[in-house]
Amino acid sequence: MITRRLLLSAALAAAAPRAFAKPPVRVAALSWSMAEQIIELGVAPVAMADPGGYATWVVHPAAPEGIVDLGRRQEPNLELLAEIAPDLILISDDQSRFAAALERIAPVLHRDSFSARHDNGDAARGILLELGRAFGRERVALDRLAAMDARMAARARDVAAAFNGAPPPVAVIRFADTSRVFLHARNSMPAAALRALGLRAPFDPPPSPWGISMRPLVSLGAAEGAVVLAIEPFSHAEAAFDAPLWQAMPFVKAGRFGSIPPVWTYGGALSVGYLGDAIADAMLEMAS
Amino acid sequence: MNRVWRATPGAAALSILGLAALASLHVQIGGAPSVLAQIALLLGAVPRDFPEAAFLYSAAPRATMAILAGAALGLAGMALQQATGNRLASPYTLGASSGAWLALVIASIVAPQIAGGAREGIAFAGAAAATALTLFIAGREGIGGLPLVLAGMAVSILLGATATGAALLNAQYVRNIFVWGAGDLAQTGWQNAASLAPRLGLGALALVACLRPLSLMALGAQGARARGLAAGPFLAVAAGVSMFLTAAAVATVGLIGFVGLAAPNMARALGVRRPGARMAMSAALGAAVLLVADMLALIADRLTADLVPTGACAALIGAPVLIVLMRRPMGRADHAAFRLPQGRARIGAWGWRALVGLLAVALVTSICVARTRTGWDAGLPRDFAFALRWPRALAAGAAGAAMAVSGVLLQRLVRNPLASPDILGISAGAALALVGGAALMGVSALAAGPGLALLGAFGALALLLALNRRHGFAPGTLALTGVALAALMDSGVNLVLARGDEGSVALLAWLSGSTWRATPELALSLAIPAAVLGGGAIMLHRWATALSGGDAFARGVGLAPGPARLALLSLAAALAAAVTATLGPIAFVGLLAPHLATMAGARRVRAQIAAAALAGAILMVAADWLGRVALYPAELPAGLLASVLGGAYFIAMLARRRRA
Repeated sequence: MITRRLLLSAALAAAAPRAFAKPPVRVAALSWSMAEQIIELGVAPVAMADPGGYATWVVHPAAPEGIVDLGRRQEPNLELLAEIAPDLILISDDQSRFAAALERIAPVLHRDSFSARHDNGDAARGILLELGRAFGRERVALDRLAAMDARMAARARDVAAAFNGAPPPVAVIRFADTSRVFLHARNSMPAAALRALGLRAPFDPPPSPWGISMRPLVSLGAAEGAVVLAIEPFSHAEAAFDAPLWQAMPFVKAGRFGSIPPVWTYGGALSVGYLGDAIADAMLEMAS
Repeated sequence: MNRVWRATPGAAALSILGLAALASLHVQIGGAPSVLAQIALLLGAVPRDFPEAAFLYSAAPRATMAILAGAALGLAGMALQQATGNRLASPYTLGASSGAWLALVIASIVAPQIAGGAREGIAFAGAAAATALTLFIAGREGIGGLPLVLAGMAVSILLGATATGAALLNAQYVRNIFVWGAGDLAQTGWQNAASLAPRLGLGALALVACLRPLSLMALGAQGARARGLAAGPFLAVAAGVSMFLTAAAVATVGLIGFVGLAAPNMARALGVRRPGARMAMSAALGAAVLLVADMLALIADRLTADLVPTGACAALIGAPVLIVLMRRPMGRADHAAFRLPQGRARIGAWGWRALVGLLAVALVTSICVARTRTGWDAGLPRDFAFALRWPRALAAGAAGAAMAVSGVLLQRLVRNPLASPDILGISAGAALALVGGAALMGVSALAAGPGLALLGAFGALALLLALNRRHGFAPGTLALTGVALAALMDSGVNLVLARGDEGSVALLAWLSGSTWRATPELALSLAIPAAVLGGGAIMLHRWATALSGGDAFARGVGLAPGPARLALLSLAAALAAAVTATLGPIAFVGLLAPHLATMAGARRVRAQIAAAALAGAILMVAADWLGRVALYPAELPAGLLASVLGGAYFIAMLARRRRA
């Protein structure tokens, strides 16, 4: 056990994870995005921070049954983590601030998944491949990414065909409340999904860590000839859609508003595929 | 200013023209159709394209809402100020905003599908409950002065902490209302204006009907009663109207704090005397302030990527205005001597043994008793667990002791048992420095480091001192500037939280005073300065004793009040800064621990400092332990629990005392 940990630590310390001599078996994931990535690779984590929240918001892929709850993601329960004695702890982004405390329990792998300085979709792909290599499942990672890319390309062709080869710009939004919306920036996951589908966005807010930017509803009116897709759930839908400003929106008048069933926009590499599927479904429905 | 503003038709016309001019400027921001088109649209023309629709359904209603909400908040503030005779009374300072906020947070977690109408009702219920609590705590005698403000801040902090706790555990549900918490005026039509206008009219009518009693209330409760006015019931009516107007405004535009406080004071500063004129002026000034704040927000919006909430801009305008307006001291409250609450006469040897014993029990429990995956575990902890637990217990205990000593000093200096470092804005200064610095530097606040927090705390203290120097640091103005600073900093923090991204939740956790990060280095870096500064406070106990008797008394015993007060204030601020820099803001301990010490019998300063330090340490160590075991495996921040439990106990204690 100790030897394996030393090897792992050494490998991680080298900052470029290669395949470990023996892939880690017991993994604790303290961030939802890292958890999602390894579950997609077929590795079942033994413990996760806030699995209840994960099941509600991320949903897919599902976390394994009986996974140990490590408490809140911002302040996970260190004593419980030590009790579990994992081989590897996965953290991301802000959680680097407590990497030193975690190092005393097990080797730690940290990656920045969400940052204003990079494209979140690309970063997620890189992380999936890295994790694949670390767990000896690089083949799985490559296959799944290739399958997703092929599926996205096929759906892109379908969407283009449905719009006679010239699909309109698409804005993917979330409602914050009846008069404010979240727009997605170029470095966000929805933007990556749009690019994979060969679609472009009408707005280009500056990059931010999570790729979202809150704007008043009126700013949607600047999208000329665009399609607007809103991610559910949105509890005040009726009140928002009854408003005169909404009725006057060019995309509403042109019948170019659609909604997307709930999907998580801060996920791992393959979540871009789920987003793409949802967007393509909505576009095809609109074209018909 | 002694100029008396005559309520002439000329003055009224000028005010209306001024408002109209501001409003027309407001709607031009963000690109608008031609002036002719604007007029045509307002007269009923149908919009021909989207820019015209945007003017008619977004820009124009937004300016209208700024006027209506501003007027409503101004009237609400005026009603409370007239009825309580307290210049600092307002829905914000009485804790009504926190009450509304807590009610909405709970509702959005328990029943997210609340429609517009229900939201207002919920906000009203919360605001009314909080205000009633504040008025109750301040008591009949305290309503006219400082105790009301301090009670309001105490209630605000308690309810705010409870709301934060709920938000931390249910972050995803609550995220979307963060922007509401910061106050924003974006509109999508005339619905909100149509609902607010009749309520504003109703409230205004009710106040007009009460003009005569309102002017009697300005004589103070005694004077009013002498003229046959039932002061108690009338206060309830005035507060009720104020809450109604506040809830109506706040349910549509969110928490906008300063307008209700600043507008009536601005009206008074302009020399408006008669209640009727003052009412009109408060409404007009409230509308003007909110219009200007919203214009600033709109302009800032275009310059940054993120929404700039209007509430934050309102605070940016309102806080300095308020501080500038406070030229004269509060009055009687300044010269009152400090009076301790009831309690035993001496603490005695057994009292000390009890305190030390309780602390020992708390420490042992914190280190030896814990929950594990399989249940409870009591006994000597293993190495790893011990290495985790002792720094947390030490940090919690040191923080509790430091805040308690700071609280004792401040209560003596401000001569009021409701003063504390969190209420006076020092912790808020540290928090703002961290949040603001982090936002500017683009890193997360948690990584920004303790140096920044220390800078912020001392910045707040320096501001406090600079603004109060000419008054010789008199308690009334000191408390007022503290309140203004705390509110200003709150809105700065809200600005960041309103961005609504994942970082906001982590920030919220830090703002709740968490011992989770406590390493041995961190714990010692708090414990050692706390011990040194605490020792300093004990050495200077004679100064504190002299100053709590009043300035004349202090001079009588040969102490120069100004410099002595400065020294003790710095000590108190340094203690609060050390805690905030390491664990984040910790509320209520500085307020409650001195009281517990007094109740145990430690009435002289030196004994009170020592006993309060012990009591504060016990409270925080216990809160830290509870935070770890109550909702296992999730951990709640110690500061949060201390605020909620301490606050609840404090209010219960006051309630019992009043009945006795």
